[in-house]
Amino acid sequence: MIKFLILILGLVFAGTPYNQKKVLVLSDNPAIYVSHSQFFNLLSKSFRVDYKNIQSNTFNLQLFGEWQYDHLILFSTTNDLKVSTQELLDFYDSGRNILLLGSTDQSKYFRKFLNSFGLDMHEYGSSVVDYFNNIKGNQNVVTTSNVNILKVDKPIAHQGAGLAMTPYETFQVYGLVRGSETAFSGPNLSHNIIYVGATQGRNNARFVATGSWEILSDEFLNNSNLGNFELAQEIILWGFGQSKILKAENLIHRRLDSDDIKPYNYRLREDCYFSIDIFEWDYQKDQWVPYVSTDNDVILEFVMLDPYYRLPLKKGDGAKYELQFKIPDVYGVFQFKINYLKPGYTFLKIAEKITVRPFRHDEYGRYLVQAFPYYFSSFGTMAGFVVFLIAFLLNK
Amino acid sequence: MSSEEETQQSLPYKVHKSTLKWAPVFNMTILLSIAIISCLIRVFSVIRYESIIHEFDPWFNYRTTQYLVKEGPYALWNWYDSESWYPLGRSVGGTVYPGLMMTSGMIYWVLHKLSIPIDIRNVCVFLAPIFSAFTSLAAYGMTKEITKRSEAGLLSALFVAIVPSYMSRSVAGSYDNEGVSIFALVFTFYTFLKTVNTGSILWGVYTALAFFYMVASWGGYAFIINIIPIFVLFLLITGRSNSRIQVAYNVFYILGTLLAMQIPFVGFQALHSSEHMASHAVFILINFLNFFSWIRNFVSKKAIITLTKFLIVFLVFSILVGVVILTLAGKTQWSGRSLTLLDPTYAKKYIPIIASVSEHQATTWSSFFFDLHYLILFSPVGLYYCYNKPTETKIFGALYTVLGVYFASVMVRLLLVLAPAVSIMAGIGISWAFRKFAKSVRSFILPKIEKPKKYRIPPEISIIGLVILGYYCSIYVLHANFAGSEAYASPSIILSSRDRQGNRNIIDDYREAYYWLRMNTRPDDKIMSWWDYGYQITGMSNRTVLVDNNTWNNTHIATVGMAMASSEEDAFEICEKLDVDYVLVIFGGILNYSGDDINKFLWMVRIGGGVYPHIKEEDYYGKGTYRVDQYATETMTNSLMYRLSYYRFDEVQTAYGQPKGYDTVRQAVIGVKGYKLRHFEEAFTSENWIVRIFKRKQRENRDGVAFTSKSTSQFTIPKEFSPVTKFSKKANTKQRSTLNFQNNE
Repeated sequence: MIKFLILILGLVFAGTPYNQKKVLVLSDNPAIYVSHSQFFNLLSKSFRVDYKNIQSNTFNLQLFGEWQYDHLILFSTTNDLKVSTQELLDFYDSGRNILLLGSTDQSKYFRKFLNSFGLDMHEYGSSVVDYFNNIKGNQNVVTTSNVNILKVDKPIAHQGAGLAMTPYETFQVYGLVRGSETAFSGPNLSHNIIYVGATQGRNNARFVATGSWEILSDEFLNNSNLGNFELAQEIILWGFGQSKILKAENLIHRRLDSDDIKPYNYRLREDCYFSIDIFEWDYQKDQWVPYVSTDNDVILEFVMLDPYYRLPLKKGDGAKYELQFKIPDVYGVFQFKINYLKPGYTFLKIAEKITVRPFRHDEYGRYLVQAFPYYFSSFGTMAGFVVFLIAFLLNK
Repeated sequence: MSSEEETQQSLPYKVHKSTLKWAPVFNMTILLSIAIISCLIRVFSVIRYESIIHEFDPWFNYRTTQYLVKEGPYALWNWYDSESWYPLGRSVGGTVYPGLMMTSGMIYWVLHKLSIPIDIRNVCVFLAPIFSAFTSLAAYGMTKEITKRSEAGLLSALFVAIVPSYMSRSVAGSYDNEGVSIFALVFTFYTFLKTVNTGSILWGVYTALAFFYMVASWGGYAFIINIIPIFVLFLLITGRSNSRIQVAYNVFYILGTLLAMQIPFVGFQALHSSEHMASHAVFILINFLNFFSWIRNFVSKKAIITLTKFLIVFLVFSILVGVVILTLAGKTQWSGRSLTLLDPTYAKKYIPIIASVSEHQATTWSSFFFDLHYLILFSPVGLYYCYNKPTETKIFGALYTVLGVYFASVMVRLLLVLAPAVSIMAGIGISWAFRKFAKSVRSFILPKIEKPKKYRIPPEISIIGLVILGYYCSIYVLHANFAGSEAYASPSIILSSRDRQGNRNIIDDYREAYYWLRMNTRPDDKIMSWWDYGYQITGMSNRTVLVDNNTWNNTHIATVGMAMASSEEDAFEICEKLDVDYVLVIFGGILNYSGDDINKFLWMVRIGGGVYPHIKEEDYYGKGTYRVDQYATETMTNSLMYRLSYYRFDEVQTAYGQPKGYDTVRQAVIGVKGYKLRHFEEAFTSENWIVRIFKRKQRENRDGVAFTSKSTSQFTIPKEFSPVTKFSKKANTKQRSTLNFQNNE
């Protein structure tokens, strides 16, 4: 009977995409489900989506220490929340992704929240104005083609507040969609406006924030002249960890003339072979495929305190990146380091420690040609001494 | 005749006669007892504590010996140790004096061949006491070579056996180079003096071999390679040179230099280092003079005089020019430690890392007296005896003492070299005085045997003199006993204290912490601590350290010093660059343990500042003095060392009648309370807080930024941006910040 029940249960759950990732949408404005129906349709194609009121007690991000969702979408203008900023940050720091839809009257709560990602929102009530790139002469509905990381061909429409980011761009914070040259915002005319900003944490969790929620609204998404539909797709793909995901495995280093993988140590001036496989996640095929970097930018560093080598890895068969080089004439504890921080991609930080030892006492060359005068002189002295002794002893 | 026979039959004469008969037996018995005593007096440390390796350097020697026993001598020679000096590593085989390890390895192997399964630790612990017995035997021989008298030899042997200075380095567990090399030193001198006395080439070879053992075991061999040439030069100048001296010196020099080159750590330094220059010069000089006196047989007297003048000027000039050229060209160099010996202020001025070591300080009178006690009072008597009727060997003894006094005054640790000399001189002096007194007494009791002399001390005074000398000797023995059982018995990694009832409490924080590291950290974790604890951490915790007591790389030590002296943010950057996982600090504020890191901190600042000039010593002085209370400077209270040492210290009450956070060592209430650490977290604190270990946290997931203004409209172009890091309000703005966002005001 029990077996049968398990079988039934198994059949039931086999039918549903059980291992689909779960998305929680937190909002205090039900209107968004109407105005953004296209976006949520897109979302529900690949995720299980839960819609909750951010001010209610009906959801638990965390239950018994387990995170209940994989991704989070926030849209709210209120300060009065049932969830603390710290909990949201913990959610992110645990490796999960967050999408924040901004608004011109964004609350202080979310402004602070944005700040902890190195982004900031423009002033209360301010909105972006562009007299040159806009739709139908309406300077408040601005367009831009300035898109980084994501792949959008058509111009993108935006309406509402803009974002600013840390003045010195770190490798972690990106402006995915930036305003055009002629866009400005606020009473003090700030340029360098970002419409969609993003942060990738050191744990590779992704955070995407839009300056306004209109950018993903049906109005723009339905307009086939605009790239907002593609943008929405890309934001879901990138922001929720489906595209530009890399992994590195199968790190191999060995002496060039030996098959002994990862030897205990190397001797200085030995020839060394290094290879590593780098894969990219293909969400369409649902499998890992070899990652092909077009820019020859996978750099291997051979470091002891400072890099002794900094060489691009060569693309080999399949996913293999390889290199052979001569270990420098210095002994110490070296590290093979790959610090691949390509914007938009998963950060690859790989460090493998090895010891480079000096020559053993019997590894130095013997009977060097340039030392022959010395050999000759020492043996000559010995022979001369013997001859002298004989002569001295025999001549009385 | 009959009356004389009668007197011969009387008791004092019988006693005298049988004493003379049994004298050699007494002699040997006493010598044996001295050897046994010298062993036993050094075992107090094991009785009071346990059979454990002491202090700092012995831990490295112990670890190396373990490696040697496990892997064999060739492996030791080629040992590249990647667990110390991360990430530079240390090529141990080429930077170590292997004599000590080879000795205990040899003992270990022999005992195991004899099926005695002794632990290598016990071999190491008891090696120094055993060698001290040999030292007393060698001192006996050396004194006998100097004076030709066994009673002087016996007294010297006794004095050497228990001299506190030597004991401080050779108690059981003090497994250091000095433990065996003082024996090698005295033995080399003994064999050399034997050669000088006999002129035998065989003994010359023995001298070279003894010297080889000395070179193999301690850098202090430079003392021998300098004092023997000085001695020979002295004889040459005073015209006392003869063929025995030539034989002794030539055999010693040629074989000794060749053998010294066989030690990898010495190698070609034996030819071109400045420490060896004197020996080369004297070798040239003595053979040149020999050659010259041979030529004299063929040349007229007048020609000889001009030739002599010319040649002497030429020789002295060429040697001087040679040395100057070599020094200027950098072919020969004085090591920092040698230069400190020649100019005692050198290290203080230029090499803080040498000056920071307590055993490199100039010797105080109190430590002279504590370590040598009455011997310093008696050794001038021996010196007087040596200068009174000089022979070659007496001159050597006197020279050794005089030079030893100089070196011992410059550095505390060189008291050790002086100790045998002073003991021997005091032995000679006291035995001489004894002899004078005894003769007078003897002539009183046995008037027939001792012929009366004009200047003889009256017997009453002699007896008083004997009693006084005996009293002083016994005081010395008692003092040495105290030094051996109390002062020098402490292993320093185990502390002990007495409470009011007089009970001994063992404070075992060091081992507690090192054991914690061993059991709770990953095998390849790196521990950052000040270099004093490096050997202990690698030895006891088996973890990688950045710097250790082999202070071969000043820059690396300075980097650690800089990390300790920097603010937490900057220190984090340095630690991350060096892959540091844990930071270990020693803190004595609770237990009034004054040898802690806060007290050593100024040296970290000085050494760090020597390489990284942005660290300035005066930044750490509040109101002109070094302090930790509320007047301490911001740089001081922000430094990593301060933050880690006093983390949560304000929550404990340490002394009665004082507020919380009262530091018992500095006798002040700490200046900063209730702070939190951002980049480090407390991982372990030992029972009495002596050892505190902090883990370096991972870099934060996000670089959050607090904007100065809620209005982003001020953010027009990057130059006008004035964001500050969230935490820079706390941080000292004077300090170098390597964070991304700096205060642009």
